[in-house]
Amino acid sequence: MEEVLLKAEGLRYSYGQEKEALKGIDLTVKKGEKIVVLGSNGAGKSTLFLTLNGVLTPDLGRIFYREKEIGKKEINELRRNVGIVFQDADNQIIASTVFSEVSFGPMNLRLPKEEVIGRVNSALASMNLTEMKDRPPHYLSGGEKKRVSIADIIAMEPEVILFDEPTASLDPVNVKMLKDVLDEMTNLGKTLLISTHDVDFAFQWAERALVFSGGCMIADGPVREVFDSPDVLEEANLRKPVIMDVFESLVRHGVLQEEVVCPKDARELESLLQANSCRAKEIDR
Amino acid sequence: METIDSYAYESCMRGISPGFKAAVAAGALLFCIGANHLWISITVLLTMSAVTVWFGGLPLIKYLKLLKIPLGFLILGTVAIVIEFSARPFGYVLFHWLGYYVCVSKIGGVIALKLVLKAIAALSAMYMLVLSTPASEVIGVLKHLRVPKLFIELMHMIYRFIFVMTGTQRLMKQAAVSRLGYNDFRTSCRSFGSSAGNLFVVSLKKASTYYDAMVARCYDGELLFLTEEKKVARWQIIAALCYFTVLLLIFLLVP
Ligand SMILES: Nc1ncnc2c1ncn2[C@@H]1O[C@H](COP(=O)(O)OP(=O)(O)OP(=O)(O)O)[C@@H](O)[C@H]1O
Ligand SMILES: [Mg+2]
Repeated sequence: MEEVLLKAEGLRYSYGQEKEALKGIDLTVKKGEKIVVLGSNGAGKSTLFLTLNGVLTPDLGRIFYREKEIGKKEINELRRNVGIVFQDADNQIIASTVFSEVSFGPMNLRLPKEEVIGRVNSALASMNLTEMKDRPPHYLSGGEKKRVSIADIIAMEPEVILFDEPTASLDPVNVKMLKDVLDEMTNLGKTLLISTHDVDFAFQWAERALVFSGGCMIADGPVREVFDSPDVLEEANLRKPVIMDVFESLVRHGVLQEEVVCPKDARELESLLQANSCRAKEIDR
Repeated sequence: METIDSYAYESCMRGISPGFKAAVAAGALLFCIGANHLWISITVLLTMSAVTVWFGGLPLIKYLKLLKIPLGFLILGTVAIVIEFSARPFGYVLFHWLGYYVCVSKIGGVIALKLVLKAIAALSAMYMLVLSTPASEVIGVLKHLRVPKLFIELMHMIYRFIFVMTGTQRLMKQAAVSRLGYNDFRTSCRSFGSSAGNLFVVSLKKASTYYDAMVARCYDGELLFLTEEKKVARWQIIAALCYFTVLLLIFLLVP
């Protein structure tokens, strides 16, 4: 079932008197989608996330959550259901131990104490933070703080989670762990939006891509299509994922047929090539 | 960065209930001040220091260094009590000048000694608390004591912000140093001035982004955190009771 969770119509937002950061965004997010938000620096990704969560009120335009228009009264419902992991973890962490930091969101939801403890512990475990739960955040490294800020939101169990550049400042092992967490959340039926500059990550993980440029949405569609259109890539300061370039070279040199779809990562490419060489051997015989 | 706060996080006594530690420290402090008894002061000083150094695992050198500064102030402050000016000599005369004698009276000396010991003993009791309990937990204890919510929340925020601000300041300073901003006196002054101004702007900006981040997590005017409760073991209560009984016995039996 394709259930529409979040809908935005003609969102406009400007910081103070300056030029507009969002110039009329229309967006529909369905349940269980994996969306990546791309765009150059200052394109308006963070601003979009803040308006979708209700922190910033758009100057013009409307937001719907599950068919219900969000006005002043419903804003807390929006915040409860749409969580946001901030770009800069240091701006999000307020408590003085990791445990109480992660408990902040669930406590604001006025959950019973046992439930809060359970949620905090499982969020900490999923972000690999259990040993650090008594540590104060100011003695943690940048990546560890990032993981705390992600655990913060996981503990609130929102239906839609907006990640603002989660992979920046994480080491490869923790990026891998983050991917596992994201897959797990998708399996739980969560809807995820991630803004990132890492095109390889975007190509690997996402199904749908939104591309922003100068406050406008210039593309919205399946990732492969978006990365296949040179105009969009050019306008948004993006480049093709490495795997696509490699794939195209392989096709150009006749190693692979053009009909096969581009693999998402090195492992898929490997199995594709393996299947290919098996077939070649059979033909030889 | 070595601060009292970081010692508290590394202390081996962190697992003990902060309420219990606060009660023992406050009890010892009040006993010490109320009794005004030389041997009580000495006992409290020695036991509290021993607890901090042995059970807490703080190196003795660092502990003594921490005591050094307040001790310096105390000694300077008591000089006024010990030294007297008079027209006639008494006690130990230090020197005389223009017909006046500067002397140290025996009673004055004893009073001063008692005072210094009492103050330093009270201090050691408080050090036992703060060197084993991070500030956030101390704030938690105050919350249980029904200190108004406004103060509690302010303390939490200020505590966190001290680290955010010092962190920002350190980064700015490092960036300036790496660009030769603290090369000589003039550039130092200029760099310091502009980084101080910048820090002010940064802190305003941070305050607003913090508020956004809190609002995004459904903050609605009340700062709620869950802190893990630490249980008090029976042996700890018994030990504390024994300790205060010994203090009481010293007070009653030793002249
Ligand atoms: N607090 C603010 N005050 C004024 N202008 C702002 C503020 N935050 C962002 N802007 C402006 O709004 C525009 C969009 O910024 P936004 O932070 O949404 O970009 P972004 O796509 O997230 O970029 P990045 O990839 O660098 O994070 C930019 O032109 C920026 O200068
Ligand atoms: Mg951003």
